[in-house]
Amino acid sequence: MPPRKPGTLLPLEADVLTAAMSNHRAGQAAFHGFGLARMIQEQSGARSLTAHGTLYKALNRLEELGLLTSDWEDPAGAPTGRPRRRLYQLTAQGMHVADRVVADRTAGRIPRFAPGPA
Amino acid sequence: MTTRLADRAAHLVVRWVRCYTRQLPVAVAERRLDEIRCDLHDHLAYEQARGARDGRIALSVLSRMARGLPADAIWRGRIRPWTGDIVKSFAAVLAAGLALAAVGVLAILYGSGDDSPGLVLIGVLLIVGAFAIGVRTGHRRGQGVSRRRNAEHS
Repeated sequence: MPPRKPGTLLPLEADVLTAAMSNHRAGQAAFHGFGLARMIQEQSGARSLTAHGTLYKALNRLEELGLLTSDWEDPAGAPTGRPRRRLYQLTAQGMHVADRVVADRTAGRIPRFAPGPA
Repeated sequence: MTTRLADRAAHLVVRWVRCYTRQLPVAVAERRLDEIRCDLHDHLAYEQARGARDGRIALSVLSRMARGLPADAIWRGRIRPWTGDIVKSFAAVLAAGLALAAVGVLAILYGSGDDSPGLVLIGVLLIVGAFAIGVRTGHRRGQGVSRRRNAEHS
């Protein structure tokens, strides 16, 4: 796999941000891993769901970049028998970057989370 | 009701997560395990609700695991580089190769049954990939053993 260019997002990371933004605009700020995999599948029209390792690695990286924040679901809110979910939300910076991702993709540029070299 | 093959596939995924999170800080390992457990629960519930067959659900779960193996290994290596004796590493890679081959066989079976040449092709590619992993691992293991012998003799 070629090395990632500094300041750029991988396609899956860009997909995560745009799906999270769509979710946010639909009035649901928080999302969880499997729900996100479903959203990405619907948006991309793919036949298969994103792999576990790929999905959670991307979520970890976006959290490290400060674009997402996460916390465990309140156990009282989870139905009996279902493990508690890790709920993710876009940060203010994440929303800003998600908007830029849409603009970058529309313009045919590689999505970035940081401004490119002048 | 959760069916047998899908349950076994989910169990295999949990075992794989336990394997690659071994020797990581407890909080990091538990978080990954709990997230995957919840994901598997949601995945099985979703597929059952839409009436998917047991074998199809198992294949979908195993496919997600197999396609994510490289990312799992990279994530793990970034948090704490792989250490330990070479036999344990060999066993882990062998298990991953066998899992890949199993998914390949399932894909061929279901692809043939549903007349899906694409799925059969994926199955063949997975088995070839598993074979390549096995050959490469065996080769690297041989090199590692030689290096250790040389180090002991010098």
